[in-house]
Amino acid sequence: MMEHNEVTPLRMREILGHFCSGLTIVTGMGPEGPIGFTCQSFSSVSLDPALISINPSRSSTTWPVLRDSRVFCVNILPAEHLELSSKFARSGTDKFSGVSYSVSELGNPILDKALAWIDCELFTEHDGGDHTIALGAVKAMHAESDADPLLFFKGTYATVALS
Amino acid sequence: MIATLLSADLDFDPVPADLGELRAAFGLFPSGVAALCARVDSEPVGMVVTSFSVGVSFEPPLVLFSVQNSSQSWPKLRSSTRIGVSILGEQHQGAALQLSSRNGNRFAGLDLRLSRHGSVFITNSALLLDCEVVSETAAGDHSIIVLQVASVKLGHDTKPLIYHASRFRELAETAA
Repeated sequence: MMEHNEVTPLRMREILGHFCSGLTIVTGMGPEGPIGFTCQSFSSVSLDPALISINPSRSSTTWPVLRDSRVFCVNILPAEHLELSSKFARSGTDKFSGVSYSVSELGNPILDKALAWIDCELFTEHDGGDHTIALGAVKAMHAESDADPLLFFKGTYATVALS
Repeated sequence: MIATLLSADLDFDPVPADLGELRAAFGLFPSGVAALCARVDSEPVGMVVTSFSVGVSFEPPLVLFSVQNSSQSWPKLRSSTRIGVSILGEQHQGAALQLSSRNGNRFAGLDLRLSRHGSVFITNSALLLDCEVVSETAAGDHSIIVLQVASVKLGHDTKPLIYHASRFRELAETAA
């Protein structure tokens, strides 16, 4: 038998921060220009057809605009995009000021130096508690770079070393 | 009847132009390595996933992963009331390979802990989550499995194993 601490909602975010993964910035085009938000909960789902999932918070103000546009682009961040990750995690600022990007065929911003980008059409969206589970059908993607990835672990940024 | 089935079979989704590039792009998202294990019919059953994601929800606490429709382990594992999720540590490379091997005893030589609800955990993992299946949603050649976290245990001194670009990696501090 093993001892487990009971989960309280207050502690949950901190506890799950012990799961280490990469970071993405999900981008798209709103009525007033490019928009985006930092998203840690990205997951590849299916190869044929090609599907990915992201889990936007129900409190996100950016996701409803992307949902309405029906398209978005997932940019996987390199270690050097640490400041960009923080910038796109804050709301109420001009996130794209000073940010270099190109535009995908679906019209979404592709951030310069992204390790990879995955251009998606919204496929389905499912209930996921205080977040939603949004599935994207991959329309185009490219693995751009073999630079080290940005990681998020216990509330701080990190990268990887060869093991 | 057969004709109907045949014509339905022709209604395929288009195959992506380059599956290799798709895998490469997906693989550039670094992720922790999760061992999902439970005791089924008195024997440990387990599988390893790199599509595990937290932050699906914090209240209620939900996590998710994707499993291939062809998986032989998942149908057995899901018959357990509880499933143990062990986020493997950087010393668990061998365990990760063994737990995902097609042949042989996946649990040979591994130090395991059993919860009172039937979950099986790999000791000295970075994080342990005792979970129940909430939903299974078909999504192409995989299903998305949403799990609710019932209880947790932190491995305070264990750094997590990272899977990136088809290789195991270890955590390092950023240069910045």
